[in-house]
Amino acid sequence: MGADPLPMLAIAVVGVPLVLGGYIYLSERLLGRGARKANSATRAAFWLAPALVLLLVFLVYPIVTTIVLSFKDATSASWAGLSNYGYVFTDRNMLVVLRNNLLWLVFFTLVTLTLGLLIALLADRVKYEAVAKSLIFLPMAISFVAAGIIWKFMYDFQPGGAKQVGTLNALITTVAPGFKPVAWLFDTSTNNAALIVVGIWMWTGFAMVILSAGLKGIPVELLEAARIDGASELQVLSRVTLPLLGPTLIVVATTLIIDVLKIFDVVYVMTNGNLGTEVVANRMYKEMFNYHNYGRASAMAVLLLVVIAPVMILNVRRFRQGGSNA
Amino acid sequence: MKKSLTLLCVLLACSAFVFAAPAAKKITVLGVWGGQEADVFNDMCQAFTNKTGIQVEFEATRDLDAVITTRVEAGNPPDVSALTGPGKMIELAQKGKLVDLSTVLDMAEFNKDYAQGWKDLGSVNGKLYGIFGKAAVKGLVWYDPKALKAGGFDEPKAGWTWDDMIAECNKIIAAGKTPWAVGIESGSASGWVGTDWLENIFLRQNGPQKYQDWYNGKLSWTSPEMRKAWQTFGQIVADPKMAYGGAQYINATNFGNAAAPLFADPPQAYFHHQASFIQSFIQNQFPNAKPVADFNFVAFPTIDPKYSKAMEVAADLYVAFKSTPEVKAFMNYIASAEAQAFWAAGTGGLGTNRNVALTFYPDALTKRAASILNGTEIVVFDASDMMKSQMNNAFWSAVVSYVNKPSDLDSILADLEKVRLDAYK
Repeated sequence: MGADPLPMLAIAVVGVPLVLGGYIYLSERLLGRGARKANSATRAAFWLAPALVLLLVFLVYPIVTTIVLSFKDATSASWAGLSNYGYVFTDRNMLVVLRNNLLWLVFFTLVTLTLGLLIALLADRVKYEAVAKSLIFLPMAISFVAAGIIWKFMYDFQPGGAKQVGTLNALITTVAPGFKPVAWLFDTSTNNAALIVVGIWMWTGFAMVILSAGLKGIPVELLEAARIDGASELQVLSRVTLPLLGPTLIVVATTLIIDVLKIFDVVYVMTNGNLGTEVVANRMYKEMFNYHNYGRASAMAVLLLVVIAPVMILNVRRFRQGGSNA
Repeated sequence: MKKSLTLLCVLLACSAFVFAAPAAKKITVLGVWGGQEADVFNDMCQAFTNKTGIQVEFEATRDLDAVITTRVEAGNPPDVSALTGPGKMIELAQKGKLVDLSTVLDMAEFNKDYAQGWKDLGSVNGKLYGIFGKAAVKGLVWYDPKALKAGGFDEPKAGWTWDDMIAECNKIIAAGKTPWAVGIESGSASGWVGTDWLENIFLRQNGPQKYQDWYNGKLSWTSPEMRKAWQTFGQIVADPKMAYGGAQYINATNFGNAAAPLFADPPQAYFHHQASFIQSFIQNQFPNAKPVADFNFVAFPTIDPKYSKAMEVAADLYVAFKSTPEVKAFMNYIASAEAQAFWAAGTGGLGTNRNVALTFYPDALTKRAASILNGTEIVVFDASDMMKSQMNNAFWSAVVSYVNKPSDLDSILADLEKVRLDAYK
């Protein structure tokens, strides 16, 4: 049976370096016969080819196929024109899905960035900086699925009068005994916010670490010069620190945006998209694996690609320009 | 250079060793079981391994539907899978992915051991693709006889009607208590508990023929029959006096904990609707509770007396993707009374093989459920599990939405109808 992992592993460990080494050796032998200078372009092409082939097979081919499938019907048997896109942008349930992604995009990104910046700034001034930052960063080490399960317990709901097991409701009912417990994940007025909070909890640490590093990169002389010139601390922050932190902020923001547009696990584990909490990636997963509607699933994948690609490009450009700043 | 050459030689020698190792006889099984159910399954497989020397490698996932789909599409299916209902089997069989079990099983033995109903449920276009492992009787109402007595309420009797039930509930409400405990949360399958309610109501209002039309996608979700079933369900879940904790508690509570309010002191509720399998959950959670004395069940109340004999069941079924000698041995073992007795003794799972002796069942309640299963005149399968997965998924979610806001019934049913038209084109 082909699924036995051990021989496969052995082939991968021994075979792949062997083949690549052989390829390089052969191409060098081939090129070595000609003049060295003349075929530098050819040499580059030979060296690039394996990477390009991998890119073609694992990136370009799937993208093109997905785009083609998005114009076909559920079973990819015949062309469906724009009907899959029509569904994505007009179906009543899909509009809720798109609204939710927008909610995530705005609130997750803004709050995570603000909190990350605030904590980075505050931690910069205290002695126990390392401890504080480690604590905030800790959730990053937890998988989304585990975080979802942890927060499911945090949000647990029992009716008023009964013993509250959920941390949040227990806290509320202890502090304000008259207050009615809230079914955070099942009340349509709180459930999206409850999910976004989990995302924020996980990613604030990431924003904080990068921003904190950016903060350390700002020369102390600049800050001191501003202070000597009579700038108040708030002025130092708004006129010196923040402008210098600009490129870093943009890198963090774009990373968060790319991340949030693909959000899936938290929703999948905590509500499975019920009661108006579904997001594009969850819907795509259902259309693909539960409903076998490849057309619609592909259309949603293309939608995500089109939205994320410009942000990615921006991010890569930033990295290239301001490697030293960011 | 010399060093790396040596390294290469060592690596090659290692790989030669790996390739030369003889492949152990084994099969892979994909299913949904975890916890106690996985233990019982592994015990059952251990007995098989002891007998045949064939190892059984079990892999579990809670999202079986999606995992099976990906693996089949990728050309890497397991040898055998334990599905939760015939819907997925029908889909896979129609795509030609499954092994015709008549070429695998000892059919003379199989025909002797299994009722025609199970054979029909496991067949697609006259060919047998699935054998049912363990079954559960659905549509049972659980209660604590002592609590009812202490509150001055009557113990429900077999053959009680929906109106009797409502009258009893009103008595409980009048005494300042709550009659029902309902909980429908179940991860990515949240809502299925409510589909069981609706199926039992629909079956008892409209009979098995209409019921079959329904799961075959031939009945409109906006039909008056359908609407009436939902409204009947609403008498319980849409009335905060009827169900403990109200709508949000129902949606937030996992089905496995849903019976707990019955056993609180003082009881927070008196009735709980769930299939026979819930007994093992109750006993795990309340180890001191004794079957019959501390908790008991009665069949779902009759609505239309014409259909009082119908019973809903659900069962896991095994399908095979490959037809190797190992798979043949395993499938024949799974179908045997010997294998099914493990489920009977371990989790109270009801045998589908009629030779699973009643002595294997651990207590009087499970025995009663098993004899109900063997003696029922009209057996119908869980309707949502028979539907196409798109319909089934939408049905689950619709129940969650309905519990949250019953006044949305019209738009919820209209949405389901749209899915039906799409799925059963």
